[in-house]
Amino acid sequence: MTNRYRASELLYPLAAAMCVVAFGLVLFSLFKNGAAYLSWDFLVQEPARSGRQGGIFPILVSTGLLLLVAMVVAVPSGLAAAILLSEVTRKGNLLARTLGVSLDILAGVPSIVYGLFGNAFFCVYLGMGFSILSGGLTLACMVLPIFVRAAESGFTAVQEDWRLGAAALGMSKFSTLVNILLPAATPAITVGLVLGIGRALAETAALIYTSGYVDRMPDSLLDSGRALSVHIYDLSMNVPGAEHNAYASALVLILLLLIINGVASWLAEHLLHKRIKRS
Amino acid sequence: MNSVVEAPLPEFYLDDRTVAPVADRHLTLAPQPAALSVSRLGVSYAGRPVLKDVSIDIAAGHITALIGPSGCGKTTFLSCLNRMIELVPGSQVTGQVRLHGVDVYDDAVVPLMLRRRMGMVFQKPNPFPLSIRKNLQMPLREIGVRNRGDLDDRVERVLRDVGLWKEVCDQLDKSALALSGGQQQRLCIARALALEPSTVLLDEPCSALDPISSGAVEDLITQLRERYTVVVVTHNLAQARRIADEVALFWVQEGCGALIEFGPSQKLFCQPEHRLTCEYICGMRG
Repeated sequence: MTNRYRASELLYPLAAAMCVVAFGLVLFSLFKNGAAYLSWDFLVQEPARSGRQGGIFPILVSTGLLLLVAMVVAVPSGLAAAILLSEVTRKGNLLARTLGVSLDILAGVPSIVYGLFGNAFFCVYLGMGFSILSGGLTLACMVLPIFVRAAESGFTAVQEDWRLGAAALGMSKFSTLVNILLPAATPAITVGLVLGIGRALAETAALIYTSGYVDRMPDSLLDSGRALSVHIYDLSMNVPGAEHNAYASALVLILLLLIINGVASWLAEHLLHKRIKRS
Repeated sequence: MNSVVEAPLPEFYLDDRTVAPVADRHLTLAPQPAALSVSRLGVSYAGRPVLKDVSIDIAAGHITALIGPSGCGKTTFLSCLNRMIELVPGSQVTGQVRLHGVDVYDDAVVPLMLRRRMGMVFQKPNPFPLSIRKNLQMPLREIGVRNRGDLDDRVERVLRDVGLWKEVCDQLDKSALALSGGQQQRLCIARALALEPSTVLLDEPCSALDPISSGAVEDLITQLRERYTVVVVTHNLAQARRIADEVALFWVQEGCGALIEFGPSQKLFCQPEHRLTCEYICGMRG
C-alpha cells in the first residue's frame, strides 16, 4: 500500500511534467528552426517564389479576416444557444436534448468533413465560391459546438440562489441575464472563446476546400485567401526549400495564439468581469 | 352575590381595531385589518399534495412566525404569498391569497410587480457578486429609479435601516461577498426593503448564521414591526416567542403539510389549544 502510494506520488508530478515538456519541446524546435528567419520584414512583406522568400503579410490578413468572420457569426449565435440551453429550456426537454446531442456530435466531426460540407454548402450551393466568407462560415460551424458547450457550463454553474434572489426582487429575466448571469459566466465564456479561436487558427483541412490557398492579398471577403496554417502546410509539403519559412510561420502562429489568449482574458477581466466583484 | 354577573362588560376600543364576528359566533379582537388573507390554500408538486387547506389572516404591521418541523410546508406556504412557488416546475396552487384585498393569483396580477411589493429574504444570504452599492441599486434601476442622487439617498436610507451604514459606508464599492454572513443577510434584507415593499417574507433568515449575527438580524426584524407586515419562517421556537405577534404551527399530517394552530404568540405558547402544539413547544415532539 505504501509502495503504491509512493509510486503514485512520483507519477503525478512526472505526468504533469510531461505536458510542460511536450509544450516546451514544440516551442523549442520552433524557435530553433524559425526564430532566425522571423523579422519585421517577414511580417510585412508579400511572399515571393511560392513562399521560399518574402514574408507572410497577405496570409496574416487573410487569417485575421477568416477569424473575424468566424467569431462574428459564432459568438452571438453561440451565446444565444447557450442561454437557450441553460436558461430557457428545462433539463430533459426534447429541444434541449436534441440540441445538446447534435452539438456533441458536431464537436467530434473531423475537420475534413467540415471542409467538404463548407465547400458543398457555402461555396457551391450558396454561390460564395472559394472565399474568406465561405471559409469563415465553415470555421464558425466548427467553433460553435465548443463555444456553446463552454458557455453553457458557465451559465449552469451560476448559483441558483442568485436567480431566485433576482426573481424575488421582481427583476425581469432579461435584466437578470444581463446584469447577473452574463457577468458571472464570463470566465467560462472566455475559455470557450479561446478554445474556439485556437481551433479556428489551427484549422487547415476545412479551409483548403473553402477559402482556397492563393497567397495574394485578398480584395474583399468574397476573395480567396490563404490561412496561416494552410500556408505552413503548403510550404512544408509542396514547396521544396521553403522549410525555414514554414518554421517561421509556425512560430508566428503560436505567438499569435498566445497573444490572442492573453488579450481575450484581459478583455474579459476588464470589460465584463470587472462588473462582478468576487470576495 | 355572583361576582361574575356583576363584572363590567369588556370594552372594545374601535380606534384602530375592529370587532370581527367569526364563524363560531364568538367575538374576537382582530387587532389590525388583515394585510394578507389566505383562504383554503393548497399546494401540490407534480400532483402530490404538500400543503392543504390553510386559512390564515396575517395582520398588517405584525410579525407572524411560521413554526413546525422540517418538511411541513412552511417555506412552501411562504413562497405562495409572492408567487415564487410558480418558479418550481410542476407546482400547482389552489385556494386564495389576498394582499390588501387583491387576489394575488388573479390573471391581471403580474408576478414581478407583486414581488416588488413583497420583499423576500432566503435562508442562505444571497447577495449578488457585485459591489454593495450595485446590489442595492440594481433592483431600484429595474423599477426606473435612474437619478444618481435618488439612488444614493435610497441606498443610504436602507443601509441605515438595517444598521449596516456605519459598518460599510466607506466601502460601498467593495464586493458584497467580502462581508460576513450576518452582514450579507442584513444586506439582503436592505435590498428587499429598497423597493419599499409593504410586506417582507423571511425564510429562516437566521439559521445559516452564527449566534451573534443571528441576534443582529433578529433585532433588525423586530425593528420592522409596524412599518412592514413581516412573515418569518423559523425553526427556533425561542426566537418565534421573542419576536412574533402571531404564530402559526404547521405539521405533517398524512404526508401532507397542514396548519395546526394559529393565534397570538402569548396564547399559543402559554395556552395552546392543540395537543401537537403543546407537545411541540414543550420539546416532546418535532
